[in-house]
Parts: sequence; C-alpha cells; structure tokens
Amino acid sequence: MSSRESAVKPLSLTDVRDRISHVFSDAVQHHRPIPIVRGNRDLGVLLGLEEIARLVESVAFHPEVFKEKQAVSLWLPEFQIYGRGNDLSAAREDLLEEVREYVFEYLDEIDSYRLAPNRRAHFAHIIKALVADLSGKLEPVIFDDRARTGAREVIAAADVR
Amino acid sequence: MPQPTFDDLRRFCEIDGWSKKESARGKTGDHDRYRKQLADGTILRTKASHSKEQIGNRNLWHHIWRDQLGLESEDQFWTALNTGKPVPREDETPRGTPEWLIQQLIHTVGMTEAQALALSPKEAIARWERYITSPR
Repeated sequence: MSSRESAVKPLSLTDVRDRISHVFSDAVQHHRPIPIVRGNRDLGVLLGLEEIARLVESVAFHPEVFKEKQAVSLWLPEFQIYGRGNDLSAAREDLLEEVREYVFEYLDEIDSYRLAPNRRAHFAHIIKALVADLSGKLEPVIFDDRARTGAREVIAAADVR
Repeated sequence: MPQPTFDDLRRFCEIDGWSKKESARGKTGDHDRYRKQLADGTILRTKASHSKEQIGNRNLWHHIWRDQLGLESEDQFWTALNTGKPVPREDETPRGTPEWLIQQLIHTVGMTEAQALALSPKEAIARWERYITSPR
C-alpha cells in the first residue's frame, strides 16, 4: 500500500449513515475518535465530549475583577468581554451570559470569526467554554481554573517544605 | 480625562459607524450591543448598559477603549465625540479587499468572480455582513 495511507482508515459517510448508532457509541461510550470522509476531500473526526474536554484541558480562563463605586465588573481577557453588576455575584452571572452569547455568536458566524485577525486565536477557548456549558460546568471552568491552579501550587510548595 | 458614561459609549458607536446588533441568542438584555468589522476582517464588539452610569473603573475603561473599541489612544474616543467624526482607522494607503473575503463572496454568497472583484472593500464587507446576518 502507499506510504500515504493513514493509520486509521476513515469511514465513508454512507457507512456512518448505515450504522450511525454503533458509530456514535464507539465515539462517545468507547472513547474512540472516528475519522469520517465524504468523497475524497471532506474529512472530519467524530469525538465524544469527554475526549474534546481532554484536548482543551490546559486551556484556562483568567477573569479580572474591577471595583467601581456602585458596581463590580469582571473582565475576561480571553474573549475581551466583561460582565457587570451591583455585586460580585451579579457580575459573575452577567459574565456567564456574555460568554454564552459570545460562544453562540462565534459558532453561528464561524466563517467570519475563524478568519478575523483578533478572533481566530479564541477558538480553543470557545471549544473549552462550549464543552463546559454542555456539561453544566461553565461557571467552575470560567472562575475556578486559576483558583485551583493556585491552590495546587500552594499545596506543592507546602509539600516541598 | 473624564470617565465616560454608557451614553457616551453608545454615542461613540453611532458616530463611528458601528452596527447595533440584537443578541445572537435572541435574548433581550440590559445592554445595547454593537459591532464593527474593519477592512482586514477584524471584528470589534462592545456593549453599552441601558443605565446612564459612568464606567467607574479606569482599568476596565482602558480594556474597553483599547480591546473592544480597537482604539490606539483614549483621545481618539473623545475626539470622535467632540467632532462627531468617525475614528480614522484605515491606513493612508488605500487597502484592497482581503482575499478571504473575495473567496467567501464567490464560494459562499454565490457571486461570480467578476461581481466580487467589482466591489470596493467597503462594499464587499457590507455585502458579506448582509449575507451572514440574513436568515437562511
């Protein structure tokens, strides 16, 4: 066989259509990435949510808090958006809504966003937020990554001592 | 320099030619949303609260004018408000239409190459924005 043949032969779209339930289980329950090809050109991979979450495990968000006289704001540098409210809890809620709005808009208008010079690098964070939201974990993913990392560093430092 | 209010921000967006945008998820919120696409494909987004409050934190305001409004200095914001003229963002040298945009107009919108090439960069962006915001 040609040396250009891939390690895993992609399934044709017709094969997938004929046994979609089995293919879906293979990807989602058995954690096997399924390459799929349409014709000779369009190639995609079916992945379970858990696998996608693993791929973006190292992607993190770093919200910054700004106090105003009668409001609190949270700036999210990864998406260049902010949430604002009367207190921290309201600002967090507003930021989560902004994240959902941005993820939706980014994916809805992917043709423009994936090519925009100031937006294309957001893609990994978009996937991270999407997967977190689908898993019901958007809030801890947006707000706790840094806290967890910080806590781990403190524990590690304590262990060294 | 004074701290701007959300009214100032809204007025800036109108002067600088931003499009007012409905929530992508169809939700009505406490904000007006604005968007502007530059000739190189850069997408700027911001929101202005319906309240008339000041943006009371200088660091947040810095992020808004620099990262959301895409300005080089805070002065550009106040100059636009004082003169009623949009921010001069384009280079002195006229720029062509981005190649990706021509490709999208041909392969996604369905224009012929001749039709796409006949558009000015601003017309090409307007045509693309019309396409992506229209129901399909």
